[in-house]
Amino acid sequence: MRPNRLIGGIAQLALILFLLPLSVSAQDGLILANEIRVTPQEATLSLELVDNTTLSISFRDGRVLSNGVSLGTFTPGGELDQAWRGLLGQALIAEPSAIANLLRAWTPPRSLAGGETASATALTGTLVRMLEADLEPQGLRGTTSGDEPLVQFLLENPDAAARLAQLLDGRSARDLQWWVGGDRTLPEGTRLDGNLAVLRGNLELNGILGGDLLVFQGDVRLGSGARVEGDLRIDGGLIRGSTQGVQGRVQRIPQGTTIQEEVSATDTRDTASSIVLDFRRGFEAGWDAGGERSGSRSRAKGPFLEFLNGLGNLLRTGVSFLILLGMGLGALYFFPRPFDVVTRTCQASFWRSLLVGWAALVLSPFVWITGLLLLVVTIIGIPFALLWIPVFWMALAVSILFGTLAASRMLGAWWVGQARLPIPRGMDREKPAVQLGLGAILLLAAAAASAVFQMGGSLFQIFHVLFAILGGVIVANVMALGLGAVLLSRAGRDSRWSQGIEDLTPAEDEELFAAEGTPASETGNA
Amino acid sequence: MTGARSILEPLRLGLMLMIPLLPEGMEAQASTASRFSRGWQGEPTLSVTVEMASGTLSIHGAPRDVLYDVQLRTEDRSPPSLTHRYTPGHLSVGTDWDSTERSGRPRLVETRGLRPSEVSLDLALGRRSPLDLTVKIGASVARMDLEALPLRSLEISLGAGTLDLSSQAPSTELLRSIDVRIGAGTLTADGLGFLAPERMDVDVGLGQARLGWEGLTRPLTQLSLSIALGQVELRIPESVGISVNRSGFLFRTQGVGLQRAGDRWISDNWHTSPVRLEISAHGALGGLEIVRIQDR
Repeated sequence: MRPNRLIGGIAQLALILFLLPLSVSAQDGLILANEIRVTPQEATLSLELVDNTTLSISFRDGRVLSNGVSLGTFTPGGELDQAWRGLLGQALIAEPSAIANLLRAWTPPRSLAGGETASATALTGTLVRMLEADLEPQGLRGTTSGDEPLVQFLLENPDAAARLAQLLDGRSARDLQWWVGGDRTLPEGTRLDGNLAVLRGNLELNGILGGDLLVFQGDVRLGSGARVEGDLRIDGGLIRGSTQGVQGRVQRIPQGTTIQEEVSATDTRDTASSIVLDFRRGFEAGWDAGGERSGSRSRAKGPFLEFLNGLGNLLRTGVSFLILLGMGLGALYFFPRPFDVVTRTCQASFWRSLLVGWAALVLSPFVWITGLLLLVVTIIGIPFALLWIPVFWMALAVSILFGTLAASRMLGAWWVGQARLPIPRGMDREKPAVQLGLGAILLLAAAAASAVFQMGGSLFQIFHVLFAILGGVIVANVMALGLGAVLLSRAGRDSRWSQGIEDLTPAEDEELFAAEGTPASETGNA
Repeated sequence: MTGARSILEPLRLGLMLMIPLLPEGMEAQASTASRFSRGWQGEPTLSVTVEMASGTLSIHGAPRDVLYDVQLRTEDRSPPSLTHRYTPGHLSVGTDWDSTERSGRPRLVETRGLRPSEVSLDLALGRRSPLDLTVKIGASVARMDLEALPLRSLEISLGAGTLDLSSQAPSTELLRSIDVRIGAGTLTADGLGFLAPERMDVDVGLGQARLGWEGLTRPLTQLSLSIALGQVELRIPESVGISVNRSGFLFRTQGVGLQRAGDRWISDNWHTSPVRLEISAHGALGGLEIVRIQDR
């Protein structure tokens, strides 16, 4: 964590904790539950009050509805619609306890067209009747001072607390008089004692301020008779007029880019901007989380670590391909006929081989145990039992490997037999090695695709997982198929189950590493 | 790693700056936002069920006088309907499972640009009523910050998504059990010890789980693991005594500093530690790794 972020976080925490009692005392118990829904088609607010009454106000289909009863009309996208959506946008991000205050503070636009005026009047009346028990003589926004707007401001802009703390520069928040929002004037001939903080509003100072003046996200105009007996500190605004009347220091805190983001975040009428900002923060949070956990090798996160993990898996798949190809070439070189028989058995008795292979895999532990018991009970077979313990599994592993290589070649042979599937140029499709290589590519294609999707990060997580599962299923079945073919063909010595499939490896082609450049026709390949 | 981050930082910032510059077609087209909240009215308990087929889910604590606060945002052209049912003491919330699956493909498929998901659900739960929490996640990306939530029971079903679960402070309620079922998803849990469950059952299919037991103070905690093809990593503080009883076919276990004692594997401090974790692990082809971490 960067030091300035740490300091900012501590400052924010301290400021909010300092103001917490005010927040609690400002909570409103009038509204028990609320439901807010803002979609392109509707903007609905439903409230359940502590006296069990309910109120649902909905802007939908050009009509303003209160508990289903029409209050009037509105123009979709018009001023009234925008103002109502703006209110609900604020309610969407505010603390639930602050929603009542938001409703009280809301006033419809003054310049409404036609029927919207009547709708707005009826709507305001409905809200007033519902909230009249606690309704204050005037709204909060831009007209009152005190702690509630400050708390509301901090709740809506938690990141601004660090900047505010910087602006306060050690001053106690409780010793300040807070003016939040709107344009204010201290008239000529008047005097206000104590420190004053102006948040997100403009101040015209013509009188005398008997303390420090702190301005946050607003401008201050100093008249000819203005006097500030303390310091003037401003963040995110302009000082207009002469500062000769400032008896203390005049300090401008450099404007950071984050403030602009906070401003746009609170403009909830621009939902898209808000969502984009949320996404940015989520992106940052995810990145930070990934960085903090990066010490764990098994759960590396963050888009680029995912990319690296995916790249590693792709390379691993490539190495697996080379190993598979190398072993396959070895099998072709040293055991061409058995390899050919097993491959043809895979092809001619596909389902039988698959079934036998799976049965062998499932039953292998029981066969192993049974064999072990039979050897042990004969007493004389105990030395062989000692051999049986490892040899059985080794034989099974070799059979699976040999069968998998043969089944891969079968896949390759299938590939070259498909006219629609491309074959790399310059490759002789009749060459066993080519078939083996193509088969290995098919076998590992899903694993490679999984690795590629992993490189794409969390966006493609589902594909990464799906292809990983698919790859596992394919490999498992190819292994079972190959094992079954090995067993059916008795390791390639019995060609009963490969009838109907012509030799894939003609005698002339058994010399695997024939001189390059020899045309297939010359080697006698069909 | 710090070096790598510093190298990649400009690229990250570049990507972030590109977000507002995305073409209109990739920006919000049909934003929908919904919110449901309710104040605390002395409810003795709250049973919560959260179901989310896809998207982004966040669960965390709510301010003092709030019973619950649910917020849903989506930019989908045909957004899933938000299920919200409340009867006294019972809350059911989530994106409509059926409607999100109606298209026959996970919604994550439809993501565009850099957005991880088009549906995000944020659930804040109050801290004044004991909670029975059930979470069912499909292909979602979920984060649960359970710090100081008064959990009485916790049940998690994770399909193919990812879930980050954390707690950094002791729970105020006696947590009877944690039940976790993972299909092909990934679970990362930190601070399970702070939750202090009496027992935890984890069932892993193809997925992965990393369970960090930081903050464990309960004298004896029972952990049962059933692993088919998946992987589980246990991160256990060095001061905690461990006993492992394992069984399974081709089931790999890896743990440093454990020694055989009859049919179990135990740590050096199993008989002396005031805090012990008894692990029963059964697996088929999966793997279990036990990693010792430093006490905080």
